Amino acid sequence: MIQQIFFGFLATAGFAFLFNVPLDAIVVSGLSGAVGWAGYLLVMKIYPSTIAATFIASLFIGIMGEIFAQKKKYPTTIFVIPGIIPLVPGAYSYKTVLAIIQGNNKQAFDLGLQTIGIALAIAAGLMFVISFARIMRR
Amino acid sequence: MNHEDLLKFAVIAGKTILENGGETYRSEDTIERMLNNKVERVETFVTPTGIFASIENNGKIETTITRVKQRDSDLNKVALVNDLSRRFSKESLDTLDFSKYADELIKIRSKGKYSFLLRVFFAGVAAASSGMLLGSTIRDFIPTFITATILQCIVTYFEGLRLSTFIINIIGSAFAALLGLAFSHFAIGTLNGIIIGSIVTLLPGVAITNAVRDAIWGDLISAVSRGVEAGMSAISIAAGVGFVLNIWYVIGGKL
Repeated sequence: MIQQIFFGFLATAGFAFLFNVPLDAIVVSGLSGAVGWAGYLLVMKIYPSTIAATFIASLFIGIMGEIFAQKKKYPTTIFVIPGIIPLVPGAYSYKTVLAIIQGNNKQAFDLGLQTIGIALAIAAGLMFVISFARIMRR
Repeated sequence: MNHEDLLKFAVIAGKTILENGGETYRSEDTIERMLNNKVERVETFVTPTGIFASIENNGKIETTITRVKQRDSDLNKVALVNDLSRRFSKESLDTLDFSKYADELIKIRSKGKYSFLLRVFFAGVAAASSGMLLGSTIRDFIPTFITATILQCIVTYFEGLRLSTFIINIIGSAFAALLGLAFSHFAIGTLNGIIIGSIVTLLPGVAITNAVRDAIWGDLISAVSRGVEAGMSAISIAAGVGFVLNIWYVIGGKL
């Protein structure tokens, strides 16, 4: 569990480097990735659904992003994009197209629905945070 | 100073945000924020591939169209332009030192990324760690790291040649599959773990998420075009991997 959270931190910080995030924001965005992944693991323990877990994780990452954006005066995106990359259904979308190539249509359909569900869960979690943050700022 | 210069300046700022991985609405917001207190009316329409902006002053309307052809992920520039636009929006038209801001924007646009070695190293770290999150074992960590670092070198080289993302993804993912096969053949790591981990850096994660985000915001055109971008990337990655695995299977290798 702790090992997984540590890898969540490493993955997010690594992507932050790739996306050229300013140096003083890299550790912070790694932290928000770690918190998001902790939320993911927690939900998977209580209720093993990838979509629900992804929703909670992106909610956490969004909240962390808003807090850090306020403190560091950077746009929220800087903390959010590296954080959500490990959540993005890359493996699922890859498996979907691979199943199509192999002619396994039924499996492709299932995987495709899962992919869309996860992408929507990420967006819903982020939108939740962004909408509330806008109200609070007024 | 005339209004044409203001409009041009604001559109270049918006273009910088769009080119470097900022959201569509942020680009729109930036242009509107910068011009709001300086002209009578400002309207913008931003899509991932172009910016349309027009301002109205004393009954005269000026419009500009800007195509956006290259897209990159350089969040540092997004942050810097965002900061610049907030300062710019507080200036009034009479006391504005326009050339200072124009110089600053040119400087921001020419800023580089982190050094090549650092980026390659962290691509490896990010890919191997993501692989761990996606269910590989610790045995896959080193081979995934090696595959992803070499993959990043190849991608950077081909990006320098200005090849399209589609081709780069096919070549890159085919290469990842090839190295995955090589490693797993000699029992260093598992095939699926290495491939899924190392192609993470190619995946259209930002595009998928921005597509859904744009759709919820009501920017339907952006949502569709980003969705197509994500779909094309996913297909090209799968094509590259599928091509190599298929050949390997046909010549009698084990999958």
